[in-house]
Amino acid sequence: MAGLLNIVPRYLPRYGMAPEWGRAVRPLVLLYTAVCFAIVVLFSASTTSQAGPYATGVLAMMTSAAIAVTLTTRREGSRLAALGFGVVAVVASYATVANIVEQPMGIAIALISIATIIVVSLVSRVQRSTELRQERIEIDETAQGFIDDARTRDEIHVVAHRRRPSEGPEIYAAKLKEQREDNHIPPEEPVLFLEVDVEDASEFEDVLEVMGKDVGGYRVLRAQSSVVPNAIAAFLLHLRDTTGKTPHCYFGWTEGNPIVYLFRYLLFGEGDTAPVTHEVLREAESDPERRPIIHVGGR
Amino acid sequence: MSEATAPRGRTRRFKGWLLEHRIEQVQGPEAKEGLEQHAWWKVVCLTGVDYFSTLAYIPGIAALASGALSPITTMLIVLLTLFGMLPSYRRVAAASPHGQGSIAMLETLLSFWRGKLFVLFLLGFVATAWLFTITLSASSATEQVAGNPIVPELLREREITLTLALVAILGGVFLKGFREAIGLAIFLVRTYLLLNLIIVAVSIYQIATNPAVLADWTGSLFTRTQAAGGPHPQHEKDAHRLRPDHVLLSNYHELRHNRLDPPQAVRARRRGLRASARLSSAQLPGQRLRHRL
Repeated sequence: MAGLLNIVPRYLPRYGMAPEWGRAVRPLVLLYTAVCFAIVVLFSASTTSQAGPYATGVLAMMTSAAIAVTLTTRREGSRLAALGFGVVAVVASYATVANIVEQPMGIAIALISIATIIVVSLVSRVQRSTELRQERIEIDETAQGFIDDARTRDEIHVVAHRRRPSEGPEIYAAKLKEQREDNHIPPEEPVLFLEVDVEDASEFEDVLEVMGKDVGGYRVLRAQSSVVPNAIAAFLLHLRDTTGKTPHCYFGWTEGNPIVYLFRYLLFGEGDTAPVTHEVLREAESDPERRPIIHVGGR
Repeated sequence: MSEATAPRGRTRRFKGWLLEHRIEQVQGPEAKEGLEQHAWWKVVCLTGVDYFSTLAYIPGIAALASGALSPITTMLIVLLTLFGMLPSYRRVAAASPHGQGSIAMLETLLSFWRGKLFVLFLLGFVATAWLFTITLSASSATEQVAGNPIVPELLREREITLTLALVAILGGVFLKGFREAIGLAIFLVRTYLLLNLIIVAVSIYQIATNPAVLADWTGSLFTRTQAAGGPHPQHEKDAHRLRPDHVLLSNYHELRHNRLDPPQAVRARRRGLRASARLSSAQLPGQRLRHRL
C-alpha cells in the first residue's frame, strides 16, 4: 500500500492523466481498498489463483528495475558493473518469461490492469486538456519592456502568429496588414506579436518562458510550450493581472476541418487555436467581464 | 439557517480531511521536501512489510515446488536477492531519492507520447504487483485462520468476509496517516524478526540435539535427485520417500492442505466459470518442476 501510494501520484497527475485529487493520499487509499475488495471477491480469496498475477507483477517490476540499472551503469561507462547488472536483468527476464509461460493467467490480469490504466489516463488527459496548464510564467527583460510600453494605452493588442522558418520583417508586415483588415484593429494602436512553439505535446504542466525580440521594428514575443492555446491563454491572463488593462488577442481562422484539428490539439498541442484559447479562458475565469477578449477574423 | 449550514460545514470538513495529505511532485533543488519525514529505518520497516510477506512465502513455495531440495532453492533465492536485486535497487534508490523508482530511469528512454505510454505500461505492472500483494497476503492470512482449529467454526467458514475485513483494516490504517502506518509496521517487523529468531534458534537446537534429522535430509536429497520421475503414490517406494518431508517440514500438513484444498473450493464456489478450470491448472507448475528435478 505504501509503495502504491507513493508511486502513482508521482506520474499520473504530472501527465494530466489523473484528476488533481490523485495527488491526495486518502482518496487513493479508498480507491485502492475498493479495487482490492473487488479482487478478493473475484478471486474468492483463493491464494493459488492470486499467486499468478502477483508473481507476474513482482517479476516484471524487478526486471524493469534491473534493465534500468543496467542501462544507467552502461551510460555512466562502468562496463563491469553493467555486465553484472546485465546478468541480473537476464535472470529476472528469464524468470518473468518462464512465469508468463507457466501461469498465463497472471499476464492476462496484468494486461487488463495496464489497459485500465491507459484508458482512464487518456480519458482524464482529454478531460483536463483545456485547463490552464502553465504553472509559472517567466518573462525576459526585452519582453517585459514591450509589455511596459503597451500598458500605457487603454488596451493591449496581441496578434497570435505562427512562427515561420524564415524570419524577416516582411512576414510580420504582411500579417499585420491582414489582421488590421480582417479584425479591424485600429490603425493607430501598436500591436505585439505572440508566437508559441510546441516543444513536447505529451507534457502536461510546464513553465512558460517568454522572450522578446525586435524584428525590424515589429515587437515579437516568443515562447515554447507543450500546448499553444493554453499558453496563449495563460499569457493573456498574466498580461491582464500585471497591467490591469484588457488584452485583446487576434487570430485568423485555421484552414482545415475543426474536428480533425480537435484531435491534432489533443495529440500534438496545436490545432484550431482561437476557439480552444477561448475555452481555456472561459474555464479559468468565471466572470465573462474579466476575460481577455478573443477576436477571430479572416476568410 | 444553522441547520442548512451545518451539513455543508461537515462536507467541507470531510473534503478538507480527505485532501489533507498530498504526495507532491518534487520539482527541483529549491523545492522543499514533504513535511512528513521519518528516519530511514522506519521507512524501511514500512516498505519492508511488503517484502517480508514475500520472504515468508518463499520457503513454503520452495517446499511445494522442490520438496526436500527447498532449503537449497531458498538459499539460491537469498543469494539472488543479496547479490542481484539488492545492488540493483541500491542504484535505483540512488537515482531516485524521492521515490519515483526505476520507472523514472526508463522514462527518458522514449520521448513524446511513446514515453508516456511506456510509463503507463510499467505502472500497470506495478499496480498489479502491489494490489495483489495486498489481496494475496490478506487471503493467505485468512487461510491460516481458516486452518487453525482454535478459531471458532463460524469465523473459519467466512473466508471472503474475513479477507475483506483484513483489507479494510489495512485501508483504515493508511487513512489515518503514514505516521500510524509506520508505527504499526515497526511493531510488525519487530514481531516478525523475533518470531524468525525463535524459529531459527529452535531449528538449530533440534538439529543439534538430533543430528539424524540432518542425515535424513541429505539422504532424502540424494534419493530424490536419483529419482527422475518424482513421487508417484501408486509406487510403494515413492510413498515411502515422502516420509522425510514429514519429519523436516513441521507445517507439511498445512502446506499439503493448502495445496489441495483451494482449487476445489474455488471450483465449488465459482461453478460455471470457465476461468476456474484454468485457475486450478495454475497449480501445476510446482508439480512439473518437481518432476523435472
